[in-house]
Amino acid sequence: MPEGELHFYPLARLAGLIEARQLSPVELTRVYLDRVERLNPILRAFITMKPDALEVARRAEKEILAGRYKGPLHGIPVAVKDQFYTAGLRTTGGSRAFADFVPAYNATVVQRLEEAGAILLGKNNLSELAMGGTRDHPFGTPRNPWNPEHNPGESSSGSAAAVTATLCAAALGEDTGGSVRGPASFCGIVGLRPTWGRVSRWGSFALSWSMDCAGPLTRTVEDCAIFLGAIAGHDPKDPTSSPEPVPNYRQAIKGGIAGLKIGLLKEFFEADYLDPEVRKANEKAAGALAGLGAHLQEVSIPAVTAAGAGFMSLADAEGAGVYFELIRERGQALDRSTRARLMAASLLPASIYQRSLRFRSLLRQQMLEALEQMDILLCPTMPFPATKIVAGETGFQSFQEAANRLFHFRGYTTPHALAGIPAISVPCGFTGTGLPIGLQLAARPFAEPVLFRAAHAYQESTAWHLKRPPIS
Amino acid sequence: MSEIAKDQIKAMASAVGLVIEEPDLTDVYNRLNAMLEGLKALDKLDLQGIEPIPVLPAPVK
Repeated sequence: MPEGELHFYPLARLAGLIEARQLSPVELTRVYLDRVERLNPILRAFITMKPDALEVARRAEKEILAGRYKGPLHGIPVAVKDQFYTAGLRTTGGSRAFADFVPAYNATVVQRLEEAGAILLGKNNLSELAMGGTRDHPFGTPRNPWNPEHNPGESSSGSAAAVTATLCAAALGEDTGGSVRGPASFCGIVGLRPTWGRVSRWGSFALSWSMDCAGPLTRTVEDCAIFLGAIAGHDPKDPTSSPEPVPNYRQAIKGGIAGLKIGLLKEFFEADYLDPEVRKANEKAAGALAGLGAHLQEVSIPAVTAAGAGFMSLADAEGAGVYFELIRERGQALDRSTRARLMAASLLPASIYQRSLRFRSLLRQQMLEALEQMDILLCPTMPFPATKIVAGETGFQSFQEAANRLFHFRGYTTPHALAGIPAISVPCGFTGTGLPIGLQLAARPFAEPVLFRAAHAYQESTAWHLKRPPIS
Repeated sequence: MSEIAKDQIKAMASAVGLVIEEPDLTDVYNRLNAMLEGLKALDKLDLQGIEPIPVLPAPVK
């Protein structure tokens, strides 16, 4: 076994050691399982552990020793948000309402991870039904490894906390309107929302059928590229999945960014609720990209300022459609916040929903037009660092307060979800109090290779991803 | 659209078979009206002539 703290190694490095037979998947799995046992009582990153993880690791080891190496995920311990179905292993959706639900089959993304040889350690905690805003987490409140008094983000909270605290090599999250990128930003790791249709949605708790999108959470961009390569591709079970061929994302990270045109999203840099430290860190990151040869230019996309409200009206209305019988028949099994959100959305007038659909088309058109001129759009991932966990939170005191909190929280990540374009969050600094800050890069549909190239070039020029959180 | 009052919310809920009592009623009131408040931003946009397409198929290169 190599020396040092294995759990901090990037997935790509672990894969190289496993392929070279210098590292045992069994030993590596033990390292992570020990860490989960020690740190999960604090972080609440996992809901359920997979009891046969070590057995699967032994099988992987035998296969590799027999010369049947499957690729860079073979023998790598990963975790999956408890939104994705796992055959024979309970899948709660982070809800008491599904506390005993054991699916008979795997989600396509889980199946693909298993086929790639990954070792599933367990299922990650999340906001209830992947909606965000949960007040009372039935399986414990997920906490941020940089400061356990703060949130790790919503809704892939446990996945982000697990990757950050190195309880697994990588994790699968799901991003409807920022649920991968937001947690990545709050936790100082990499999180990708792929192009809508790039990854199958089949076999998961749905929130919004038209925007749900599975995506990786990793510590490096290269790891993210490897992970996406394993889960991307057409799935006949999901009619919205794309037949677009899957390129070699790992290879695509190389080549630098000389001449790349990067547009700085004016409306988001000028927002009065943008935290000054977040603005400064992102401006500095933009400068670093320019230093690597990219051309920067300010870009205006007026419709993005309404994205938070437009997104919530669509996503919540679709979520209310999915869970209507649940809220009507067993609503008391849900967290009070989730129940209120779904009830409110189920009363939304159809005329409003239709107007939001028109808005989505307009926003998408404006973003695609901007991306005809630019290769990349750049803005902060979240307008502020990780928020504090408020014990016994009772909800909004007025609808004006609700509007501000709900739409600001989702404002910076929802335009990309509405437009169906890929976006990645990469760590770009820390606040004075030691909380991470995220940089968000977005590209044209299916231009993940360009996104990876830019994000990797930036990450290689910094050391933010090498910092270790206090709880790890 | 103007603010929806709590009694109107109860009536709308009843029409779709939902029973909403306090404290949920205040939560729903705040959330629903927050949504309508936020969506006022869309009033400033020219959305006429844009079709409300329910799915945005990802273009194949």
